[in-house]
Amino acid sequence: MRSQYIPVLIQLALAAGFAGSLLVLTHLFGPSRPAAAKLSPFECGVDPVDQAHHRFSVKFYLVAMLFILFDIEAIFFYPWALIFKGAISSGLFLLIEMGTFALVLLAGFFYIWRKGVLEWA
Amino acid sequence: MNFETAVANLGFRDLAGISPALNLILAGIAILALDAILPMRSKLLSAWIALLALAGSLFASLHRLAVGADISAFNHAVRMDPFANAFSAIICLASTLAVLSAPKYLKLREVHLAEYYALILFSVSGMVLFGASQDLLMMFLALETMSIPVYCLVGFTRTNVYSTEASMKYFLIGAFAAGFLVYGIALLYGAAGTVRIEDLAVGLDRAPGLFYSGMALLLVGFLFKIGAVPFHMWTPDAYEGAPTPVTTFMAEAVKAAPFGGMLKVLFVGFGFEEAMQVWQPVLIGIAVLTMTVGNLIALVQDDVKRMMGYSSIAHSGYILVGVAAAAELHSTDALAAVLYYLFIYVLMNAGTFGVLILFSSKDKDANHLDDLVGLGRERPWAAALMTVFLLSLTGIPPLGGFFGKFYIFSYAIQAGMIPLVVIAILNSVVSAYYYLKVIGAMYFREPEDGARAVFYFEGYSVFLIAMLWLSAAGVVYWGIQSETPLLLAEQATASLFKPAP
Amino acid sequence: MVVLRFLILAPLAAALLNLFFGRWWGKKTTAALACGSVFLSFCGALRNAYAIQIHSLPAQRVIVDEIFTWIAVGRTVIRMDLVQDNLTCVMCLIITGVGFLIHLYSVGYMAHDGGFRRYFIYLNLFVFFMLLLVLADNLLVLFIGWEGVGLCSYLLIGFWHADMKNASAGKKAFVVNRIGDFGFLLGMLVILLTAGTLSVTELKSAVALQPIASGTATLICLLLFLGAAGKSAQIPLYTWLPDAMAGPTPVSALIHAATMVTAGVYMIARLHFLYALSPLASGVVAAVGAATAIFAAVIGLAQNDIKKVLAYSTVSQLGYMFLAVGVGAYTWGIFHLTTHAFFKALLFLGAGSVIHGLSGEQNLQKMGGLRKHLPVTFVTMLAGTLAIAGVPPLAGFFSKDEILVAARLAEPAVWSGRVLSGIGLAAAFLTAFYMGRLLCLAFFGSSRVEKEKAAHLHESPWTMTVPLMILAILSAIAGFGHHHFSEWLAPLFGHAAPTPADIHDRVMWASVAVALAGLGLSALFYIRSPGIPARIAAGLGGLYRLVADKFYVDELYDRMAVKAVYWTGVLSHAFDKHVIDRLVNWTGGSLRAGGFVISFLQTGNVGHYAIWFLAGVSALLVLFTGGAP
Repeated sequence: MRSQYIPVLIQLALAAGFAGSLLVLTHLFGPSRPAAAKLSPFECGVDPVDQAHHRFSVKFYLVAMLFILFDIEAIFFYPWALIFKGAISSGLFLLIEMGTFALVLLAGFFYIWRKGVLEWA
Repeated sequence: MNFETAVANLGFRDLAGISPALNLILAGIAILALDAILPMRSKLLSAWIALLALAGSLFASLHRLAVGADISAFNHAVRMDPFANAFSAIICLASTLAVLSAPKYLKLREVHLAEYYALILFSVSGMVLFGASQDLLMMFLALETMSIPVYCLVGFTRTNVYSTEASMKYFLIGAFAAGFLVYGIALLYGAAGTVRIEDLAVGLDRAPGLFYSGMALLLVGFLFKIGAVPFHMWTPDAYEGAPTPVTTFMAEAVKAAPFGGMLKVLFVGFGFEEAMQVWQPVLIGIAVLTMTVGNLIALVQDDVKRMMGYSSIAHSGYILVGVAAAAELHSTDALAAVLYYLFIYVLMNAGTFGVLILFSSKDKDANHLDDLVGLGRERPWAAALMTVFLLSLTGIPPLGGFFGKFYIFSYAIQAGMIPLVVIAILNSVVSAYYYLKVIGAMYFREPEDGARAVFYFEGYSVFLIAMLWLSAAGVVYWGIQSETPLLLAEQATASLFKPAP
Repeated sequence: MVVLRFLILAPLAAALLNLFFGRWWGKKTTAALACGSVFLSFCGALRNAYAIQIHSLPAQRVIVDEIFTWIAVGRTVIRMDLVQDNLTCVMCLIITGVGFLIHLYSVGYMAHDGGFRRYFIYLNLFVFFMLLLVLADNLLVLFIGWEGVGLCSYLLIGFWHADMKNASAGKKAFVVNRIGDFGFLLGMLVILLTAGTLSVTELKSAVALQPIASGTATLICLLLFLGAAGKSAQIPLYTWLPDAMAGPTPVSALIHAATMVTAGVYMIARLHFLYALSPLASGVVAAVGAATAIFAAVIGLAQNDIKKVLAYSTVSQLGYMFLAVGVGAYTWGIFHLTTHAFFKALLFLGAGSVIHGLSGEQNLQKMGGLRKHLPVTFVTMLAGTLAIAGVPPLAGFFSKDEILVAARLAEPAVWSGRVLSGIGLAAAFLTAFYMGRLLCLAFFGSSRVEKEKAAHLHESPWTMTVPLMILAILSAIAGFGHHHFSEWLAPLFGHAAPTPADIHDRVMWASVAVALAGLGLSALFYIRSPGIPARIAAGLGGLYRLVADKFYVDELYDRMAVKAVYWTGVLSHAFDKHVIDRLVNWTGGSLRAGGFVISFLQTGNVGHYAIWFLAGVSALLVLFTGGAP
């Protein structure tokens, strides 16, 4: 019963090891040129301790919203792949349908790209 | 049915089944793509694409309605029966009128963007599926697809504070209402163990408390959408703040669509005797409140757009009278009268807002009564059209508005609801006051400073003129010739009570 | 055959086209559209008449066009159906045929008028409504046409509305007609209550199955007759027609002579099966008809306005038609309607031609000797005069003769047949006299035309004279068709009973004699020794003034009805102002105050909205779960 969680543990260990080793390695080999922005905890240009009524670029919202949208839509692929595994073999239709879904996503991506949402300047 | 078989059942015929909605979504995506590729030339082209798509869906729905097609799709989650097709036709017609009214106004306001048409199309696709949903989750999905673009549309003139304020308010209250709706769905699922609308009845025996609470909360979601008292507060604010073409869209399409879902839930889900005895009297009470509050507040408005907001609340009340009568009589013909009313309501409302758009200028809407003074002399055609729409809203024969009310009230009398009809007629009388006030401003008032007239006119657009004349012709023609629409509506409502194929 | 809806829609389409696009095209296109559409309807009506003619089975001799159900509530179904049978064929042909000629004539007559387009829009609209009136199967639809022609008549009487007099003449016509319409509406209501239907076809079969009680039938028929008397200018509602002459002359010809004013006669003929049930109502119709015939003829004797003479003549001739339908001679009523449409349209158009030639002069005393200057007008008007006077073998002789014979043989409930035919004969004599007088004063003798008007004196253009000639030919020969005519209408009204030859001959000779006597006397008075009329008028003194001033009926109505109504108005105004107004203001005020108070709840604060929303949710929850155990 417990043995089925062992892969999860291994996955956890791998992830922690990978992240930890990367941190250690960059610290050892990377050049160190500290700056105020770089030293801030989230390194995204927003001061974590500040007035609430501070104005900042609306681009943050756009990026955040887009991230959530695409993230959720990407997550949609997983259940599709898992639950419909048995049904995929039964017909081309499901494949086409997921293709259409991806196409719609791509159309949205194309739209925001052309609209200049991704340009930071 | 397990997932594998359910999934294996899906096929192209499911997509073909919802083609009226699918067509709109594809057109919306096409508009976005076009705007991305050719940002300079996409505006009018998008309007044409939207019109074509809407016309396609309109004719597809009408054709299916005429031949009586009844298609179940997506494992019975969606059913494009005559009922859904009738609503789809009404909504597509309404949206066509709203799209026609838009280009001139948006150009004046310098927000003529292709996104407008895409948003409208996405919203309409949700509306089309709304009346077609056979289970509550699908219905919620359709409702949100319908609502979210509208929140954006209300705030479409981004630099206008009223517009953004209206959008924010509408969004907040809308989210609030959606929350109740989902909660209601959850409670009903808890009671009945299913979200299929036609199987909800089993919940009553299992857990009556849950069932009735769920029913109440579900109903709240719908009553919010149609602007029934006391869930109406957002209506005037949103109507007034939104750009007028969006107000047009809201007052007709966004108004008519929720009735589709509501009728389906009330008459299919809660259409059995015990439940009906609970919701029907409540509906009567809400109808009385809605009519009265709407009309009374409309009396003291000087802003025509805001007045029309309250007037739309009052009209929801009249329609609820029809719904209550249909419940009392168990009559599909009475429901058909409701559909006919919605159809006519779409036309006359669209026309009224269309005239307001005609006289809106670059920085000011022709909203106030004073803005219309002298129209009768200087712009006789526009004033005449406005008069037709307002008289129809008042319910003067032989215009459509009269027959709409006439059929609804006569069914209510058949149902023995005489006091309700008396209240409704008194309300109509009150409403005559503020509709005629507009006519009075157009014809009988003189501008104070000795000028010929006080209105703005910055050229017309062919789209807008077409919209005005189409609506007026519809109000007159389908008023006198109410046989065909009523016949179609009767087919539509009859299908509501037939089991799905 | 031609589907009936296209028959009536052609003039409507032309009116709408001219209304919407007329400003972009010239007078020629406007006129061509207007005339063409009516001609198209005429061809359609002709084709339908032929289609009816070639079918021998009675069931097939009706063309039905079921358009749609207009209103359906419970048992009451109002269908928008059109029906053409033998009777409506006649009416359609008159309306479109004579209508077309008058349209054509108007092109010339109105050529220089600023309201050219407006005129033709009204006229086409009139033809549409008139056809709707005639073809409607349902009385309610008929009533739409009935009101529609009234509206067009109102608009056309007041066509030159810049002149207050014309506008008030239009208003008078409208108001007097309302009184009649009130009766008509009540009549329809009683029909609906008794028979449950307003469809003439259904009503007819219902009555055939189970006759309506004679008391109810009398009530219905009298109420409907009130409507007919209003529209067709019978005593006591005739006063609007002479004033209606304020409109353009072709309008007087079309609306106030040939078509609209005969709608009352048509309606009674259409509902003859109801009138057959009520001898009393029929008797009243006949008596009123006869009285109107003589009364209007007497007034016509002393009028000096050429159009007024013709107007009273119209009222008088309409009296004949009512006399005919009142004594059950529906065929001859309709026949007289037809011939009258020809010769009275002709006379009006001729008078129009005279007025046109004389630059607007209408006073007979300022005419004279015109026959040399207006030869075509003179010859055609002569034909019309002989026809209306009843000189054989022109049309009026046959139709009037048949009516008088029918009246002589009838046994009506009010007055006796002898009296009625006697009155008819006397009226015929007067008709011949005043028409002769009109002709003599206008065309014979020495010219009394004012100088500057004499200079412009000219015969009218061909668009005006051609209709005159066609109508003159019709007035001359239409009478010969009277046997065919009665055969044509026999499916509806039955075959005429053979009349005793001696009575027929006696009446015929008498009517010829009075016609010739009237004409001869007028020639004597107004050509041979023009002094006589003045001496007679002086000798009669007050009596003459009484006739010339139309028996002071207008003044009487003014005193009795209008003044009474006026004072009632003043009183009710006071009541209105001090009682009703206050009530209304109070109600309105309190409603507004209520609205004002409630509108305070609309604070604009989203938080408050949410609180109201929550209150609503709680209320619903309590109400709903209260129902559950």
